[in-house]
Amino acid sequence: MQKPIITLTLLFTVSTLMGCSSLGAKAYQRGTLAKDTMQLDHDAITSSFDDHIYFSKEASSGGASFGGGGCGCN
Amino acid sequence: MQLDKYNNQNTGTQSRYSRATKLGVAAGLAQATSALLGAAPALAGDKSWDINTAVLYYGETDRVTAVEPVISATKKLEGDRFWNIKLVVDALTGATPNGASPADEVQTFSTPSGKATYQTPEGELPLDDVFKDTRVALSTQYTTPLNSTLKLSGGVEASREYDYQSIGFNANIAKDLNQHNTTISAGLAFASDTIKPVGGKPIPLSEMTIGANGNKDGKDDSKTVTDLLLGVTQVMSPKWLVQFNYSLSEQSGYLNDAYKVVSLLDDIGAPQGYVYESRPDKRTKHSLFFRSKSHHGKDNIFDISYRYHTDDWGIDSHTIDTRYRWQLNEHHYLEPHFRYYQQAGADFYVQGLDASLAQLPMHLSSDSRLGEFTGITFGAKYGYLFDDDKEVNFRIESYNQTGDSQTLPGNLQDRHDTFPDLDAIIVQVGYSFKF
Repeated sequence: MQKPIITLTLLFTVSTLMGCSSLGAKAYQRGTLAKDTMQLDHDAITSSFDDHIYFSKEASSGGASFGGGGCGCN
Repeated sequence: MQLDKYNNQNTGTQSRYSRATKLGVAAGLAQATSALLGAAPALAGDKSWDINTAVLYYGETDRVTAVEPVISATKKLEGDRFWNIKLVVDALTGATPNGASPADEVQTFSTPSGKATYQTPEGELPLDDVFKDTRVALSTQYTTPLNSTLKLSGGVEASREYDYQSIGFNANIAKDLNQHNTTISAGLAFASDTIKPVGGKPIPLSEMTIGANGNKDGKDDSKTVTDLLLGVTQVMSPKWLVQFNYSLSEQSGYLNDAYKVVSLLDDIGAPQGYVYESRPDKRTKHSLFFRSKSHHGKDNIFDISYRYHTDDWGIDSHTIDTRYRWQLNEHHYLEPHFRYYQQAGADFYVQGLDASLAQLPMHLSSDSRLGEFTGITFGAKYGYLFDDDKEVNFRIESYNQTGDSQTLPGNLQDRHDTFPDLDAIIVQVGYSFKF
């Protein structure tokens, strides 16, 4: 299960990044990307609540950021 | 930590460029640190403080209830530097499974201190209902640019609860490439935790003594967690960006849950005793994480991610998380959220054990969080945006875990639910403002 998923993910990423000649945005095209709501860390409090809940209730954590710890979490 | 996009009030092409193109660095760093310490939101005009507050209510049917207020304050300093401080209080009450399986009879267990006992009615999953704890966590993070394409961030975090304390730090660096369309980042985090179980540290695989505090060895123990995170963020188009992360996490030390036991069952499934769980003292985890965030229509945003996790305990998992922010008009937005999670159980996860075994396995746990299950979350968030940089929001979601039963001695699983569903409700109220 593991290897096909890793391979597919890598293939997808590489092909996505390499395959498009017009990849990216020019400086004058950044208005949308600069919006608060388009930031990857927008709504950090909700993300941290979710990380804490799922860290406490599931056996996986991290991925988007550090896996964390610092919690007895019964 | 966040964008410098509002810092420069000039309107020329060059200033627009310098404001907007640092997006990549900020975004990459944010992902390296946001879950640990929160990230600095954008600060408009001459306002230098951004305050985010929220209260979370998490309630499981018949089990744990948590109330968690948070305040996060970010100060914008000169030269695009940011300083964040965050305080979290987490108050927990309720009942938590002690690991034992249901039985055809009333079962009696010792409380963690060994000073008292509690009973579980016939056919019910045993829950330790004296569970109560308050956790306080304080963290701070500082982010500074080193030059126009390089950013550095570092932070510390400390938390304390009755039987657990932790101190940790993290450092992250992010570099913009390809005219700020690509960001590569690397982060390292380290945490040192001390566990001080109520009633002392149980000897793994020893029997719980009912009505006495036996089979304990020492008062406390420790563990360390080291995380490495490598990431690439790519701007795909003026309205689309993607992120790919690899993370490695090494845990070492006392990884048991001191309050969990495993039932020893005879050939008809009747409990003959309960032994304390025994997990390996090391765990290595790997994750691959892919995320896409895109802008649609007038001002709607589609955010979807997939995570694959695997570790040397045998736990593989798949997570899909998706949100759609639907900007109804200038002031209102609605954000539906759906999350799918599926994990395979740890190699040493059991729901009960044959008492006639000559020797117990070296590693053993009945903690359902290490079992095979599927978790589904769905719900929505609603937000109201005021004209003066204030926002109030409200979130309500449902979380459900469904797992399978293992075959137990005497086919106990046919008579009682050995992996009952977990149903929880998540409610969050938030308020943020800038000044």
